[in-house]
Amino acid sequence: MKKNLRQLLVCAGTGCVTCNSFEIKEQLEQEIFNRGLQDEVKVVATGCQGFCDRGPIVIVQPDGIFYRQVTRKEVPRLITEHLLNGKPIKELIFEPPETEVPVPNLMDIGFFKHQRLIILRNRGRLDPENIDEYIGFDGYLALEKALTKMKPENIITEIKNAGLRGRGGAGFPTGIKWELTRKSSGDIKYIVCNGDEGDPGAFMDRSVLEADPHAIIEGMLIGGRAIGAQKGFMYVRSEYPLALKRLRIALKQAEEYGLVGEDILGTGFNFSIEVIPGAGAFVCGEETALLASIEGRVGRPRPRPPYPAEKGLWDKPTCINNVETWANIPRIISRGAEWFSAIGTETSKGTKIFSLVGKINNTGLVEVPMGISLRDIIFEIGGGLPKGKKFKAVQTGGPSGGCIPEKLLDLPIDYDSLAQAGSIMGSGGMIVMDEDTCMVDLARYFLNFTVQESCGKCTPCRVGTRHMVELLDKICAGLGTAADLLHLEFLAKTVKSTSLCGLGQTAPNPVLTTIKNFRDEYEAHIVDKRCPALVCKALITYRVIKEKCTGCQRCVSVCPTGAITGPRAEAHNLDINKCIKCRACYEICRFDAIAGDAIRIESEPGQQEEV
Amino acid sequence: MDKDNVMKINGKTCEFEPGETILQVATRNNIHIPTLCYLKGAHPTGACRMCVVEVKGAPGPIAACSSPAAKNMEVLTDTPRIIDARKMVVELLLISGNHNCAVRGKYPQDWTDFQQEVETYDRADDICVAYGTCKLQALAYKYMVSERRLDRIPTRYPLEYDDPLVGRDFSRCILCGRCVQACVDVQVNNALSHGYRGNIAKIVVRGDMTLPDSDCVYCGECIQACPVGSLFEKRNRFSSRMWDITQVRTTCYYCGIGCQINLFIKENEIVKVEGVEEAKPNSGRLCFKGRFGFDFIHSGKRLTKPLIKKKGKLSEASWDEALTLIAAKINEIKDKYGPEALGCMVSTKNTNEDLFQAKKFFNNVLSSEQVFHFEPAGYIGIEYEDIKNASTIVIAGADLNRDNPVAASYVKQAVLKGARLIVVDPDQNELSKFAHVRLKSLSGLEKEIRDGTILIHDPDFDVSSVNGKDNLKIYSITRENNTNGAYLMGITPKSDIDLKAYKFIYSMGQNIKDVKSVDFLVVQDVFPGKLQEKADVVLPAAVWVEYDGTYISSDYRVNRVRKAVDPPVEAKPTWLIFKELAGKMGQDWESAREKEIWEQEIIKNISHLEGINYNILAENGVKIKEIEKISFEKTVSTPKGFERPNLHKILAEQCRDLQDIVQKRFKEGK
Repeated sequence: MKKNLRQLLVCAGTGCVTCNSFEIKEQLEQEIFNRGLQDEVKVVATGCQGFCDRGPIVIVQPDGIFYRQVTRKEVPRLITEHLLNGKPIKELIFEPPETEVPVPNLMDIGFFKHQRLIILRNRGRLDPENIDEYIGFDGYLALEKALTKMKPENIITEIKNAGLRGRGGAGFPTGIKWELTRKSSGDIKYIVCNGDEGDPGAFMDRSVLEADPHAIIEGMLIGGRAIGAQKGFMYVRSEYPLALKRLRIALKQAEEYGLVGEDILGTGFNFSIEVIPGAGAFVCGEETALLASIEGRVGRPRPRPPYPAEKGLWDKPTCINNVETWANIPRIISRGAEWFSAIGTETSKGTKIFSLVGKINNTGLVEVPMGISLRDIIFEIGGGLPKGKKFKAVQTGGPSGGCIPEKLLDLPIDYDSLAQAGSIMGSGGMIVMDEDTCMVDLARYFLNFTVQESCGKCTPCRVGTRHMVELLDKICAGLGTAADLLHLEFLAKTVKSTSLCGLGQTAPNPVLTTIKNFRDEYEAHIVDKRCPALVCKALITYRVIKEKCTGCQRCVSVCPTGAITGPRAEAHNLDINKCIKCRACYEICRFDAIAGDAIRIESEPGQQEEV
Repeated sequence: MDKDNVMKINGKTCEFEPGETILQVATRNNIHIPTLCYLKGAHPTGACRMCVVEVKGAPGPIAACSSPAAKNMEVLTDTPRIIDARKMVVELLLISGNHNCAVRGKYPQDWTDFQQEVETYDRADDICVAYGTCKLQALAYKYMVSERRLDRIPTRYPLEYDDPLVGRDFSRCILCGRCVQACVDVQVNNALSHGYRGNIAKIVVRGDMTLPDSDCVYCGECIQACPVGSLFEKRNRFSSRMWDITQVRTTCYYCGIGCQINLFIKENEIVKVEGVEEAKPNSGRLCFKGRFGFDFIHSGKRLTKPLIKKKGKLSEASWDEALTLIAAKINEIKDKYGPEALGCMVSTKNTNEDLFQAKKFFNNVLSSEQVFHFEPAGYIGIEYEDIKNASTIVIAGADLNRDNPVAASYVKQAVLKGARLIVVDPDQNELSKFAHVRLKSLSGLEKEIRDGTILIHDPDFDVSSVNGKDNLKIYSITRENNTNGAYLMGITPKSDIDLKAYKFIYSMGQNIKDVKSVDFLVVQDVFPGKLQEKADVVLPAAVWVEYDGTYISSDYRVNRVRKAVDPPVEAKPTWLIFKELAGKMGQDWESAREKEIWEQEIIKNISHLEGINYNILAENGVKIKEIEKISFEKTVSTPKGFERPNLHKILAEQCRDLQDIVQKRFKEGK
């Protein structure tokens, strides 16, 4: 083997790290050393590969072989069989659940094949803790171009022409925001990177921060030049320790290389960056709350106008963009607005990262061009739903987004189409739900999140959302009335239209879209006192299907209340008075695969009295 | 109309200034938009969402309090959609607290249960403290929100009732944040803030402590700002119902600022004090003393009858007896030692009318020029507007936090807006916390002076070494409420005094340590005390809320003082004592009321005050003319051996409720 001919790329995103990928990396290095291969094979800890469901991930390059769920046991074989004998290890090769045919090559896997990487271009190919690798992949060339060959006005024009819109959710044109900040009067201006990604199940920004911190730094430097700012703040939630660590390392290295600080690249441009860890409030992702938090005040939003571009940090003009937006900048500057604007749709350009989670085969992070259909993301990249379950809805935009039903699956993904469907792009969360999901319960779940995370400042969000949860509780408990549903809808609309900030204005989206698209489910809860998805405990009862029960007593052993009784080999009895509907028996029954579900949950109509 | 700054509200064309909000334009044009959280003078927070209006072209309702007016904007303030939104806001607030004035149940029994629950929480059986003055209640009635479509949210935090002065009722708090703004943006005391979040949000006192353990200085601004019954003064909790009280507008007597206050009077007693929102110089703000320091007026320990020393002991006498004795002694001493042996030590707490009469008595009746006081005098009066616009503020020797807290709030606000603060004081000074530079003396000040620098000093602190410097304007702020009035009445301060020169002294409560050389001492005061025991005659004086008059404040504004309650038994106003004493000496003075003294004598003789009659002073105070001509050549300080009155000590002694607080907060107070 020739020198460094082969690379073993070990994913070191948070997902894989929690599956001990660092240990795998150490072991790989040890094994390689033991065999004296250290000059020929290099092990690199990379940023997140996105396929988090299958971690720890190891990719062998240049072979392009993708290994998933690598265990310590398999490491010696990986070295001997693959590296030395050239035979990929069958057991570690990915098999899409829908076909069950092994796909050894990374680029043949549906999950990767359909993606288009701009922001995540460096994921899984470089070591985020090493600035030289970033520079090796043309890093900081865009900064050089911006500083030496472009005037600030030209940079802004380029960004405007590229059609880049804010990736934080609202989709405000980035170039215009820069221009407004540049034109605001004052000598002192600030740049802020919003890395307070808080949507449950969303980890796009974390991944970018962990995989390619220099891209964000470079983007901010270019932004600082364009706007006339001297200082930048990176506000990153402290729940992202790995991202914070890599960001700090990257910043230190960039400072050592003279890329951040004074007289950058000898151009006289000064720009310093400070990392601020967030204090744990979801609402601090809202820009004005975030600014308050940086200033050391309570993170509560304030009314806009004045917008931060006019009065931001310490009342100085401030340009605030999110992680993904900043990461786009170097690419646009190096390859030009024309190239970038050729990707995407008429109104939404470029790519967007989504975290694809929920009832989906390929859970993970995907970057796709704008305009791709939801169907393509879910079925081509995501590999469809597990266990052959039926698709019901997809929630985009996190807890503030809306539920999009099957009939809208061919919707092209862009800011405007999603808004028309009553949802939002948000920061890019995408939660897939199958037929086992109760939409009323789901709305309640998301709303509970916003109730907990509301800052409590404005009345509609503080009190209104709480009452919406109470009404949903009532409906889920089978106590809801038709008037409650009407009231819920009215409350939702009022909260949406009168709340102070984006959190309150979008919090009712899950409720409004589920009422719109799944009204029948609400009505089933209210009129028939039935939960069609068999989720709402108050509306279901468990019973043993005598014909299918073999009397194996597995359910008897797990029942925490002793509700199931019966001798071995005889059909069991279930005492509904003792049953707490914990679902344990249902989960443990082995005969659901063979003889259907031996214990069935059934909605029991007419049990609750209307009040 | 082709003006640029024109908009339409409800079809009415309105002009606006750039930067004005929709609410400000509407209010100016008499279009009412309801508000709850909006606090004038502070940054709008947009929290309550009560002031939403419809703006043509906007996707949803807009908060009028925080949205700037814009050219050709078309605003509708009362569309059905807006009314629905407001009703919803009111309903949400009503059901999330113990609003037992307006919440009604669906069933008759509901109300009873609810009321009992509220009474348990309140530890009282009355209705809400704010009944009748509550803004939420008014809105609930206006929008007819009473139906409970939703279940009430139980109150999470218990009533806080341990503080001696202030009660905090979290069951009625609507989290509008006005109290926090009052504390942080207006008074800049930074004691209150927002704690927790979402539906467990709470207004907290630093780290969620109780008031007594916090940094609170008890200015009470938060109580005045509270639009509901969440913050209240304990002592008047249920006793200051709006239908029981009459309000009397007057001027605070604690310091030279001359804060405009409304006294709430119930059955000849002051039960509450509030700042007058629309009046200068305080625009509603008050301090601990001004808001809470009125108990002593109704104290049972007050002097109520004249006392005459007989056989070494003071015993009650009639006014006639006391005044006859004083007149006789005056004649005796005057004959023996000449008129200059007769001295009068006035208190600059007295009204102009009082001081004028004293001066007149000594000058005209006794031919003595010996009328003086010991309050130091400085240069020109202060201009509060200049604090707002100053680039650098120097505070020299003045402990504003202690002596003039409302002025301190203006300084702190200016610092928040970016002004540099330099504190020059050899002693501890609370304002130093906000200072950029601290100096022990004036010697290092020169290099800090730049364009737009103002210096505020206590007249006792000599600033003559920097007087006349370029770019530096010097202002004096007086500790006493009517030092400037005394000056205009022709009574000047003395910085040294030889007590041996006086054989007859009339002291208005002014402390004299060594009275051995004085043949006859008359003390006029409100309470018994050590000096009174040494006196030959003690006269019971009425206090400032017991008669009419005027003060002249530090900014040379003439303010009215009004009678609000009757004095106890036989206590008399100072001006009347001198009128009667003059009668005893054979001079019959014509003016029989304060108004006559002011209008017939004072403003006719003192050119600066010309034309400022009681009618003109009926609403707000009036700045005096040719203020720039009134300036001392140099500072005059208090003579050695004389202590300036310690108001906090007096408060602690005379107001029972305030003792603990004074001891804890103001132990440094001089």
